[in-house]
Amino acid sequence: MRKLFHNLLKGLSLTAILFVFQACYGTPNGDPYYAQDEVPENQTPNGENNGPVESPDASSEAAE
Amino acid sequence: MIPPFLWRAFRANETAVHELNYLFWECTTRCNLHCRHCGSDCFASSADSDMPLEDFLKAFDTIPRESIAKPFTVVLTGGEPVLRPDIEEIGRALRSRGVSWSIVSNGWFYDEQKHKALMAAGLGALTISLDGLEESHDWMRGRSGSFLRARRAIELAAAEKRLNFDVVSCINRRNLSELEQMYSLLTSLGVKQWRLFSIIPIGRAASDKEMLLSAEEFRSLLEFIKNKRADKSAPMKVTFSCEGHLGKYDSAVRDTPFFCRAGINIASVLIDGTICACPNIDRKIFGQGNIYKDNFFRVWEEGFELFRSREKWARKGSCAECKLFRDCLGGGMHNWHGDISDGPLVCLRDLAL
Ligand code: SF4
Ligand code: SF4
Repeated sequence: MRKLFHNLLKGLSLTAILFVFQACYGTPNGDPYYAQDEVPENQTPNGENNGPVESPDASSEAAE
Repeated sequence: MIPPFLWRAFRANETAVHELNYLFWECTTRCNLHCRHCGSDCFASSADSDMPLEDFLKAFDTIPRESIAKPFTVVLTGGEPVLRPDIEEIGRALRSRGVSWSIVSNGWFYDEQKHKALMAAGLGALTISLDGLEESHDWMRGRSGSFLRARRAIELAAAEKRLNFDVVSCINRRNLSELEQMYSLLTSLGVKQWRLFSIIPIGRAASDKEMLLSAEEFRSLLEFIKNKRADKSAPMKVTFSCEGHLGKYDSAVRDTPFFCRAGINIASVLIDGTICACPNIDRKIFGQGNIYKDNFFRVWEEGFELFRSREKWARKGSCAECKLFRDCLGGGMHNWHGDISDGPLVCLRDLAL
């Protein structure tokens, strides 16, 4: 029922209007560049990882 | 204006559904500036190593494809995310998973070349911080030249039609009197959205008297925003950030009534793998596990109890007897620090009275 209400609002595009991120942190949401539907088919299936991330050591390789 | 009872019903429904729309990734805590109001400082050390992209992606890939909501955005935050040498690779990896991504930046490294590279990697939204006119901004940011760099970034971003762009400003005692001039500057640069926030006494700001607005000053900030919003033909929309319920100003300075969506639509993966919500939340108290130990999506689905049950525990301290509690639920989760039995650190409604 709750999901139904949520989806109904969504169908009316209301959640998109109502979910306006206003925090001091963060960016505007929404994305005029790509509508998500236009993004090419996923190359990496989500949900493929069923557990925690294995390596506990965040390496510094990515640092400059 | 939305009637409060309807908004409460909507909020309760959103809380029960808890669709994940917004995922912060604290991808680095390195920063080239030394801001007086940096909120990360009390939690994260810049000595932390950047989290490898593949670790974040492994956590992200626990989200089943059908559970990726629309809208869904991954927000790279820091530190200064543009310092990551692999930022374009990050963006492409996210795009290949069908999600949009965005960054919050101080603009220092955001030159034309960087702008083009980020756009080519599918950057969808961008926020640049500007904390006053030149002298005030550089004072706040602790480095001369930061205003000019931020201004250059704003010019580039404002001219980019494919970007959802806004400017965010931390308003304090120094720059409060510059609001009108900042407004003129930003509109002249073509900015369409400006988000303002005040500081709460945590991090470096806690002991900095020049940062904290008095109640009178805070009200003058809200009046400024209210007046600008009243002009429907204004070239730029001005908004106060979420933070907390603002009493009589609440619906005058924002698009919708106050609703802290932390843990309801917002999650984060923090620098050490902690799973939480907005990065300014006390992660020691409200952290919900760690991607190196837990399945991220399972935590999102089954954890976050404190975030989704505020009616049950947040009537503490000043909130215990508050008439606004049903609409405010104790303000923003980022206002709760240390011992939560004392109530939130700040109540904005008190300042706005
Ligand atoms: S006392 Fe608490 S519930 Fe009341 S307005 Fe302030 S923060 Fe919100
Ligand atoms: S924790 Fe604070 S910044 Fe995050 S959504 Fe809640 S009020 Fe906004």
